[in-house]
Amino acid sequence: MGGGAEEQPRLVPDVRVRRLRLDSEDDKTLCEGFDCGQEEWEHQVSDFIIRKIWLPGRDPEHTLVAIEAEAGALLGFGAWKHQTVELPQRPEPVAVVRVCYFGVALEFKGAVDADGHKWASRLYSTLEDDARAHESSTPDMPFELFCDRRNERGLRFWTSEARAFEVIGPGALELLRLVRVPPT
Amino acid sequence: MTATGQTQIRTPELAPEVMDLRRVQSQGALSASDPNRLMAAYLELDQHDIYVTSRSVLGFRDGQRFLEVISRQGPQLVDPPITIEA
Repeated sequence: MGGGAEEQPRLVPDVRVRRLRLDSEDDKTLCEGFDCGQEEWEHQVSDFIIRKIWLPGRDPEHTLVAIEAEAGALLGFGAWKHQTVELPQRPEPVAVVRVCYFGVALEFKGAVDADGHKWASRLYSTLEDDARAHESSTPDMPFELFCDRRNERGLRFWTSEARAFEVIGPGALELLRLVRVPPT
Repeated sequence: MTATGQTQIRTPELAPEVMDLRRVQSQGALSASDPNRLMAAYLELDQHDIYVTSRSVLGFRDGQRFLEVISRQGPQLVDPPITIEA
């Protein structure tokens, strides 16, 4: 999630979501122009979907792409995977859903549907549903992510009442570590 | 109370007191809605203090956790998910 001034909500009537196909040249082309901003943390998100995810030999994330229906442009994406981590609240390492990368293209930031729901929020709901429905997930599995502490817009998004991620500690460098425990 | 208005909790035996999050927060603790300030306070206090958020209390000493109050569950997501196409 990037920073910057608040913009007027852009109405985007229809968005389709599907899984990214790593064996598809069309999908690679779809991702090539993705740009979610020029801040350091925004560049890292763009670099993931443009380049990093396509590198050979990686253990791939579960990646959902949201495509603006009219023009076929990549509105945003979310990537998650299971990880086993230590959490402050838990005495033993636990499996979590790590939201590895989540980004909305600059031109679609703040975009809403016809009912006023932000597409970014709907995309996160989609990601969480997808992760929770996975056969290796459990109902009480926490969601974990890292967000740059300078990324005010992103921190507002994750810690808002709608999602209520909690800052539980520092991560590496400028990162904050956040966790959300979903309702069962 | 510390210079930043946080309540210092030094021993796990005090856990029943900090379960009352409203009391802790009324004494000037920080919430997750202000994570940058929370992080700044954490560093200023030489990592000998506690995180207090709306859902959890976590104590650290020299970077090591010594106190915890289990988080409540987060809310149900209200924004409708998008159907994932096959």
